[in-house]
Amino acid sequence: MRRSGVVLLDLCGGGALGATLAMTGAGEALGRFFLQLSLPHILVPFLVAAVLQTVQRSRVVTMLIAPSLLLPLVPELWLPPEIVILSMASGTFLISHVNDSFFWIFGELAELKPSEVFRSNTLGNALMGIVSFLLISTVYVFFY
Amino acid sequence: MFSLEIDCLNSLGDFHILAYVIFIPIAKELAARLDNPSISTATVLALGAVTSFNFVYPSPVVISAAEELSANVDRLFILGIFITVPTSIAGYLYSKNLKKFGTADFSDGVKAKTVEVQAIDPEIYNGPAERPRRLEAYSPLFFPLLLILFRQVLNTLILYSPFWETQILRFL
Repeated sequence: MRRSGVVLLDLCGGGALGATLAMTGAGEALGRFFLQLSLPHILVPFLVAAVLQTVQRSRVVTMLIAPSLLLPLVPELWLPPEIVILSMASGTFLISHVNDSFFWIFGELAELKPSEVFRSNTLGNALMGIVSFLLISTVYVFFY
Repeated sequence: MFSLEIDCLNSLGDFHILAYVIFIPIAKELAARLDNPSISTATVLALGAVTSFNFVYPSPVVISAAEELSANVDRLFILGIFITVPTSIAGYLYSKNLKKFGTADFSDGVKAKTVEVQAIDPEIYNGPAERPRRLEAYSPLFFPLLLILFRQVLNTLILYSPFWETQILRFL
């Protein structure tokens, strides 16, 4: 009951926070900032999602907010929407630290110390984020 | 490894936290039975859950993102699976080698738990277990997945190649 409540609140609160952030134009500003740095365009959704995930904790909320933040930028990025979504998804992997609820649930149920969780969960997630981003870039370069 | 396989298939379209919470007792039990370090098993479980949750189409976050950006669902599904498999293999290799990096020092609680679990019913852990055959065990998972994949592939073929369209129309 406790956990299902947390999940429900995550979803609803995430949607509301996403709408609010989209109204303020924070995501567009963030995206334009990354665009100005003249990075490759496929990196922009990845970085936006990674920044969001670092600041606020839940992976679900990040994936709910990030599309509405990036929506005004998608025509400028010249990317197919599938690639944008997958690049965003791999951005949410990158950082999972003490403000992530999954971090604590993982440690609590597996009976691990926080330092062990850092080495297993956080580093593993970062590795997988990098691997999946490389894969998506490869797919984008070769198939689009 | 068991848990990776089970989990990657089962947490399709599920919340990764929920999948993790449901499967962690099984993972602990398996770790105790097979003498794996339990940190590796738990990590494999967590990483597999997160991967399939983030990438594979029927998961709720991907659905909402796809609707918002009006993405092509078929292509997203196939690409997602294509990316999930190598990524979760990377996660599996990482957690398998956790011990080699010198990070998997057992906490005392885990050791005590292992002994306790094995003491409850020693016959189960020492005697040869009656195992269901692999195909039997996996068929309820694979069959729906195969059907979904088949539909997607068929749709893609019909939608994207005029050749097949004309062939099928002629056949009909």
